[in-house]
Amino acid sequence: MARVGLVWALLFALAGCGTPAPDRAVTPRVSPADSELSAAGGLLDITHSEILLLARAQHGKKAALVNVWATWCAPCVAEMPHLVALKNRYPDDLELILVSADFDEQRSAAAAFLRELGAPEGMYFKAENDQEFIGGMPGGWTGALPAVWIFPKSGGDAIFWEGARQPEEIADAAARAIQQEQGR
Amino acid sequence: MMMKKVIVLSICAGLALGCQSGDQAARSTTSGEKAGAPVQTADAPKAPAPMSAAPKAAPVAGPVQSELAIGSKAPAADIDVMDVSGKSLTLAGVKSANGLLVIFSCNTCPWVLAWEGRYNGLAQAARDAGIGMIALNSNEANRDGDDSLDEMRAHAEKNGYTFPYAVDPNSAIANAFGATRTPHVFLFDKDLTLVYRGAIDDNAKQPDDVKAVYLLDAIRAVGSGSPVAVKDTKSIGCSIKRI
Repeated sequence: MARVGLVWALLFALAGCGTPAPDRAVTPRVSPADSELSAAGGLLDITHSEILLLARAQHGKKAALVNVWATWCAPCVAEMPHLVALKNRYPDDLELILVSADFDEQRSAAAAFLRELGAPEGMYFKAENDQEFIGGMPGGWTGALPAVWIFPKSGGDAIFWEGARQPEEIADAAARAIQQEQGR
Repeated sequence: MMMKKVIVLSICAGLALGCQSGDQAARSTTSGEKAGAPVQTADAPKAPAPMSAAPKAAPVAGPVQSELAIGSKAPAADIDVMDVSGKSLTLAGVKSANGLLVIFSCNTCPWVLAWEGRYNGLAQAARDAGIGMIALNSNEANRDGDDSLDEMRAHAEKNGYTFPYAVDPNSAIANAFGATRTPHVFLFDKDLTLVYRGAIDDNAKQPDDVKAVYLLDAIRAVGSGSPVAVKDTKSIGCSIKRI
């Protein structure tokens, strides 16, 4: 179900925003393993292009918070409950896009960790090489985890940081992204 | 009379309080340290330390810079760093005739653990190319635990490191370099000009599936005096644990 939803979200994003179509059709890869994973509440493969499409598809409706994390990354694990809490605080105004950069062996552990936290849908797994993934994300990311992008509800450039941040700072940034008016 | 004494005492108290405020390092938002952390002020002796000297006071760590740009000169080249062997080193001292290779690393990050099997091969390639190599541990926040000098020594011995592995005190060198993660690589030429920064290669987890040996290519280029073809790459890693 989540896989179908992702496809529809991307199609609406492409149809609605009026930007030129990407060089290739952005259809998430569906493999038997992926279907089983998503049926079991696992993580969906994602590339940087797909992340940006998803985030920008929220323009006008919600702010989008993209977080690249890993089960091995202690500050990532520490801040994850705060990100989930933010989503619960702003269910209709904030979209969480959580992307695990774990190695394959930790993929199911990553999914289990998020499920335990009650993370909503929007749980992904980096399925692209580092160079293209990191280089394709905006803001000058050098690859350190955690990494966060917050796309304002009104559109425009995301704010970005890499490394840990205090929960209050994250909450403030999210609140600003939600309240941001056009042209600010 | 009394009034004058009160005024003088008040001025003295004000001056005394003002003098204790100390330095607050301005920090950029490119790294993960908490805002407002005070900077230690201490002497940083310039002369190399004899091995019997008392432990050095930690240097003043400057603010975190953005990632050192290609073409920049190596900063912090004279900061003393304590190697696991007990020697005090500097980047300037580690540099060889043709250049210097610095890898920001640590003891526990899974990306380090995945890549460090390739460290000795790189060290050998560097030696062959006349390039000095050093690994630095900048995780000051873990200095009493996982990234202590003792843990570093044990880690270097267990992995048979053939190159120095030293404490970056207060993350001073990482801050000057704008290093963000482990592993994070910086390669300098014979003039200590940065010619390559970023990743070791394009595959942390599968050494046999590596297609692009970025750092090895850069080392060979520097050793032969050729330009480095791919100067700037990226890789996932654990953020450096600054205080």
